[in-house]
Amino acid sequence: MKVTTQQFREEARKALGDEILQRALAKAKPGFINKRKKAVDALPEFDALRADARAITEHALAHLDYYLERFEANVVANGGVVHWARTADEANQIILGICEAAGAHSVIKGKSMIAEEMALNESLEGAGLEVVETDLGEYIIQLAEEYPSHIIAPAAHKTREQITELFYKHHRQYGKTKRQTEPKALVDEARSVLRDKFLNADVGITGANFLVAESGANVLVTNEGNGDLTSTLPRVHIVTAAIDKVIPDLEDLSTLLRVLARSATGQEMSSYTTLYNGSRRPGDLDGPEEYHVVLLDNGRSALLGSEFHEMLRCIRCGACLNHCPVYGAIGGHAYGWVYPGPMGAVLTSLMLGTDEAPDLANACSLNGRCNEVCPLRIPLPRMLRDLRAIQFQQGGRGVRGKFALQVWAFFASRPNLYHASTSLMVKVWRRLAGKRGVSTFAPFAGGWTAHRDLPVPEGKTFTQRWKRERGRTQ
Amino acid sequence: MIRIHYPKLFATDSKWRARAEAVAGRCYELTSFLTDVLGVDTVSARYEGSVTYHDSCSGLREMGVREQPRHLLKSVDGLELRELDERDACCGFGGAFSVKYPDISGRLVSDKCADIASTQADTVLGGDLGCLLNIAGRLRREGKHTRVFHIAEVLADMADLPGVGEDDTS
Repeated sequence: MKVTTQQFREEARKALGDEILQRALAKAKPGFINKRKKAVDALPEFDALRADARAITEHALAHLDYYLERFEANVVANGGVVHWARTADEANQIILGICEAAGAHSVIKGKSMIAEEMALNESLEGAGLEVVETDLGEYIIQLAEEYPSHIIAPAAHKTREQITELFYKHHRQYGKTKRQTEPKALVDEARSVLRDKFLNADVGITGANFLVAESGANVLVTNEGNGDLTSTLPRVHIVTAAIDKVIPDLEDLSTLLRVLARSATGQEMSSYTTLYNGSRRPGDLDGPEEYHVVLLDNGRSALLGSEFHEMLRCIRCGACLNHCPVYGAIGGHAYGWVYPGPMGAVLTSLMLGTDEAPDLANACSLNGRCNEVCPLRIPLPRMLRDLRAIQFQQGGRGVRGKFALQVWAFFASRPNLYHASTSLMVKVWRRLAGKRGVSTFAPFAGGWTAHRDLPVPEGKTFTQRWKRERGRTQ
Repeated sequence: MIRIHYPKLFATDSKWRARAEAVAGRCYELTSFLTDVLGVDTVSARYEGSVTYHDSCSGLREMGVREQPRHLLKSVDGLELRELDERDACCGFGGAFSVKYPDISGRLVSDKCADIASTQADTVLGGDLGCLLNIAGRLRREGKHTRVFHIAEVLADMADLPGVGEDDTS
């Protein structure tokens, strides 16, 4: 995929002016927020569960090597193969190798953000394989030749009218010549087209919500059941998972699933929760002949023990995106890479580097709502602040801001001068504004007056008024 | 900023840490100080009109200020409180964010102003002048006449002066 993190400002501006996108965003946002709130309010122990979830993930991260090796041993005992990949390229090569060895021509995929991170589709298609996404949202954006704008609702930026047109254009080849406009009819049409793809695919690739060390299970939650078909129908099942997905046991899984679904979609549980334990055993009626798990690091192990360590607790529920005012205004594509919103701003800055993604840590009002709703209480605002500090120390950006701060510091550390200059400034400003309460021009702050007037001070500083009022009462 | 962030900013500074912690310990958000520390239950003030209250993000989420201002406003004669639909939403100020990303910030504050308008309140109150400057600036730009005051002005019965960004009609 094309990384456009450098063009954040431009992309954000375009998104703000895109009426269709704005309509889609306005429709999606309240649904997510209200459903989560309802689910959380209905569970008095939700905060206690969050604390448990946090403790579980911290424990797993503290003993990551142990649990990963234990997971591997159990996958192998179940008849599967575990592959370790340091980079996205390595992971893509491993998967191509598996497909080649299996003589595969067609691949079906369940939703996987790691696969997006690896640009797996491009890699497979580059090798001549047919790739079909089976999650409805992913399928829609695959037809549109786009990439996900939301980590759990990949096509959140699309309106129903756009989907009608996409299906009309791409499904004619399957004899579907009617424009469907109702959600159920659209889903039915996609289902019938996908059914053949499921039955004819050689390889199924899915992501993983969790990896359970105790049993070697890979856990997938979906609301469509596509994950189950993807993993059981083809001859070969490949799981792509990041190393931070591993948790100790099934007890822990139960806790995490309870916070995940509520935070993501406001459900108590997702419709389908499946634990995959490897390939078909003798006597099994279905299941793949081969089962592979590709474990990807891609920079995560470098975060362990760093000030950004807590980012590895993320379970990809999307609550931070849904409650972020910036995401709500510009949608996911403006962020320019796989992960959008607050978690994306942190992850992208860390994985691609702040030189590659200079705006992401800065385009945030630090309102803190993401931290408040994060089920794992990841301190996203603190991390964004730390990323800004790193950028500032590296000196690449913010020369103007630095100068402004130096000027301010000069005055602020000289109280008499500070008081004299602020009272003078306030007085002059008041004079210039005449009787008007606002000015439409502000030196050095054109950004402010592009969308707002600037209220003018009333003529006296607080300290001046304080002195006068106190003089009166004493 | 002072209460929550100073101790962290000076955490590794042996010379300033103690002073930063001391000043942080003595700093309060106004309505939180009045209710939580002084135990003020009622004020004697009068404000004729319907008001809505904007919770600032740092007050709300960093310092737990939510009920305190509303509790105090209850005792103001003539005042009717109308809550916003999206009480938890940021107004888009965010300090330098408002100038660095004007298009995004402008969009957030215009959403906030739309929410304010839908309450049909004739006044917006808040406890954070950054937010109020932002909201008042946008309301004026939109040509709206909703009045904007710091909650202190209403509690102190001093809202007879021009509000934030109002023309001087004297």
